[in-house]
Amino acid sequence: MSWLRNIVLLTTLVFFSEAAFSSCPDWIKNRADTIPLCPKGDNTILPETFPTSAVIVSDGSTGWGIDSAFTSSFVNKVLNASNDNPPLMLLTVSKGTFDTVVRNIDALPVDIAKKQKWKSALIRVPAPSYTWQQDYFESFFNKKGEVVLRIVDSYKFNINKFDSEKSFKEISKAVRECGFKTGSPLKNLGEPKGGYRGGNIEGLPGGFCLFGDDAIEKDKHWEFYSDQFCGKDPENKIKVPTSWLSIGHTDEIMKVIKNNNKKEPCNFSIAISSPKKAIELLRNNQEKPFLFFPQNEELLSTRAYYHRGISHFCNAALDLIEDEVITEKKSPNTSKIDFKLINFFINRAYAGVTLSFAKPLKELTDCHNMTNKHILKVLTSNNTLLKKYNELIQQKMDDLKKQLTAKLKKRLPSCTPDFIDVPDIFFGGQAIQKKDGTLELSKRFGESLLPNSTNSVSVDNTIIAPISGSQIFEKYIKSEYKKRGLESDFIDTFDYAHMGGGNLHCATHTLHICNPRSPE
Amino acid sequence: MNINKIILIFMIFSTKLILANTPIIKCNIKNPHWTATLSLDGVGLGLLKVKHLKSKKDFTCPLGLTFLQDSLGGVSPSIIVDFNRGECFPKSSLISEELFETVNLIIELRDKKKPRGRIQWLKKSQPDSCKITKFRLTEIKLNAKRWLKQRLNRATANQ
Repeated sequence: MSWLRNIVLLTTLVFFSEAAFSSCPDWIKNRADTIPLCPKGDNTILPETFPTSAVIVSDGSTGWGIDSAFTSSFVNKVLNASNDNPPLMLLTVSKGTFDTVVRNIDALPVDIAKKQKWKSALIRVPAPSYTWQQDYFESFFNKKGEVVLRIVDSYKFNINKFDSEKSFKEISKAVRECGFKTGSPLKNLGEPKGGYRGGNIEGLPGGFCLFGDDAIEKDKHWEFYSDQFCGKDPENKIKVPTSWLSIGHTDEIMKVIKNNNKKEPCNFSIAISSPKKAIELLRNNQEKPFLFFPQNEELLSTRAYYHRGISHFCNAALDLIEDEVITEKKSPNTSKIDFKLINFFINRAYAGVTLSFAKPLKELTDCHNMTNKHILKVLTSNNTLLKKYNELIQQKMDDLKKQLTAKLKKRLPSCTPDFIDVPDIFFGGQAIQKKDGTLELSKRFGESLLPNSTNSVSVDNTIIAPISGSQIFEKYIKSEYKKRGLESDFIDTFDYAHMGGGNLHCATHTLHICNPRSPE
Repeated sequence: MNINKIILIFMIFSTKLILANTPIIKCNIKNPHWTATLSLDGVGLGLLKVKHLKSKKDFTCPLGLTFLQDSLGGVSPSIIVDFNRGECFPKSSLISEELFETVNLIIELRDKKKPRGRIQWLKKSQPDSCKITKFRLTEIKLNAKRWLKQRLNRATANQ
């Protein structure tokens, strides 16, 4: 009967490797008491401070093929953060990646019962590998406290093979056992725009919804779209200024997180991008290297060289050095342009010139040697356009804080909104001169230089954030989360998502859950 | 080697040369004050032909390619091209005063048959749309790859 034993063994193996998940986790199915009540009002999007009931991630790195290591590392971090109440882990991955994930859980130094529990939360969704799991649908809640998934109707490209309808269908099917529903598609007026995507729609405590203004030129289009999830009261809506960003999504510049040091309903903080904070940190740590990827040190120079923003800053730093050299060396008969031309033809050689930087930055090939001082110089010198550009962004973020404070104060008068200035530097766009001489941000060109920390994922009391690439930024972010009673964990997203203009939040999707309120 | 083979090799070689010098991207800009044509050829040379509507003369300026990225797998599938205009326009001209030193072109590829360009180039107006008239995706992807490889080679050679 050995053939029968083999068949049983094989079936068991297939079962455990393809669908370790067998039923909805108990804490979700039984609606544990620890799950908070749904917000009042008719807004239907939950802030990410609510418990995470499901997490979706793929293994399709942007432009680099399958990346099982990223997926496996992310899954481990989520499970570790969720501890005894793991969310459903929906993996739109290849079989190889799924096996790697299972194998790596087995190798974790935790007890067997926990491993089993974690593995039983995994489900391989039969959908193609695709990086951007955030954008083609969004999750909401209804009065019954059910999670409702809705597809973004306009999310259709014919440049890649990704079929958003098929993936959405499979994900909806996979969460059905937990009682999650599928709602009507999110429809748009006019042309499909980047703003009509999941990453641009977020929730804020107090029954607010956050929706960026990216590329949605007409107010009535913005209103029509947000009406579908923000509820009837126009006061529920907050328009986030995102139209200056190339991708243009809310999750690129802000994130709502828990604050365990405050009591309900004020137990939340808002992380907002801040070039000003970045400059402050750079100023206080000038001699340290700017770029820092502790787990992937060997990739440092490659990343410094192929990333558009880093090259851009490196060029600007070189120009500043060149200007300094010109000021020092220029003879009365040599014009600045002549000197620049000479330098260009001798391949930016500065032999014999000593500069005040720790490591020499001589050519574009030295970009990985940039120190915080180089970046600081670029951001504070009147000779570069990046100074004005980042100042204008800071103004935008300050205005956003004021807008949020006013709205929150009105609805939650007992709360003083707590903001975290998240160090972030932007490039790509320009400061445009208006007719009255004032400056404004150019539309749809801005990008974060380093993986932006606002683009992170909340699981229970842990924030899983992208490795920022700057040691001082990461240290600061960690300490700010700690102050609010939160743990932080970091994952390298540079190749997986940052190179494609997005980050961890854009590449994943978390579904949040609330318990229904009894009818009033 | 017979004469036919020589002719064939010559033809392939000359076709390659011709193709290298023909634009792989070309787009037209029209705004209330300016008209312009921007192009990039197969050897990485950019060209900006620009005219202010009040002026009779148009200027043509070679642009240096500073970045070329195939971001088809990105959040918004696109091609990103950065140029540096350097010092080539007449120093005291309106063009020199009003153009940024860098010219940035993003070609959105929601629909590969309808690429859409947007260009950041003028100091006093928001980015314009750049109507794509030539777009050879295969060559662009190849060039982006080649260009990146060259940069990477330089980076690793330096270590």
